[in-house]
Amino acid sequence: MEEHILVAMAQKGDRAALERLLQQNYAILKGYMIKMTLKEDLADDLTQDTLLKAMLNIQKYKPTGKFSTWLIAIGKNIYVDKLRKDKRIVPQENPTLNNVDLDSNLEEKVINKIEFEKIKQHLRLLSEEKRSVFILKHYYGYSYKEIAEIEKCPIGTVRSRLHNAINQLQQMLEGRAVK
Amino acid sequence: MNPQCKTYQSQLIDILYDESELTASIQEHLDHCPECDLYWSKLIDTKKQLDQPPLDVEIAYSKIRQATAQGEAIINKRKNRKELGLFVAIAISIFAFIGWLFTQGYQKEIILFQLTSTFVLPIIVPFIAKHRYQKGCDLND
Repeated sequence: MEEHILVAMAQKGDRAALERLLQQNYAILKGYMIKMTLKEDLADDLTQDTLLKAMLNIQKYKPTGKFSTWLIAIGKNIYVDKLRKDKRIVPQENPTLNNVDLDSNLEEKVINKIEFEKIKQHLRLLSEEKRSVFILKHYYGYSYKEIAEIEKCPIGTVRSRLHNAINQLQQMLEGRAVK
Repeated sequence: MNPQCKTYQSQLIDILYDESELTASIQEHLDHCPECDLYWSKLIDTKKQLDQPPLDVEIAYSKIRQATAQGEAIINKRKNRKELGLFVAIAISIFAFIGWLFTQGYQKEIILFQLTSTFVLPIIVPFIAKHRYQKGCDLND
């Protein structure tokens, strides 16, 4: 079923439609949270809080863009609030290979995990704002306009944050000292 | 660095992320400027290095159900609280109105109304109900 139909049904109080909508966008939200927090357990908690907040505020959602944009904006706010409240949240220092599910795709999953751990080390060094913009653009392909909506900042700021992030990451990958 | 190159390099990042198109003028610049051409190849390489297969996120159906159930409980609680607030507001308004009537010298009428509504109405209601029921039966016949 199309997203806007599900949204309309969910806004009329159809819980099943809302659940379906959340299921469709769960992977994007959780993936974004993992990449932002760089901690799987924290990402889990924040994703859960985001789902709850989305459920409580579904009536306020205006379907002008993608539902995932709205969902990620909620998640981002929750993460920023959490950072403000709990300044102890620091990205993990040592890469871990925990929480890898044991199934037939184990090898592939481990490789993905190792790849991600390498990237995590670079992402960790970016500031929250730059990291968020980079993740949204690079991994999820959101447009500058959509990212500006999520980040609640002008498009020019999004553009400059992305440019800075790319230049910084380029320097890191080349092993140069980051300015 | 040439200021023109700086502008082109800034545009190259937008092109890399499909926010802008690789125009003929930019392509021409790349063909003639080794510095910008190197920058462009490095950008493509950086993007490749940072690419990663999508994270294997399993949809936690139970967590979604849990969140919606929790949300529904909170919404119902809020609704109950709203209704209670409305009831309290209406009750206070009625009492205030009665109080005002009392101060205006309608004590006797108020007491009479109270007595009527307390004792007479409960006796009358069954008669009214019976009357309406009979009327309904007559209409059906």
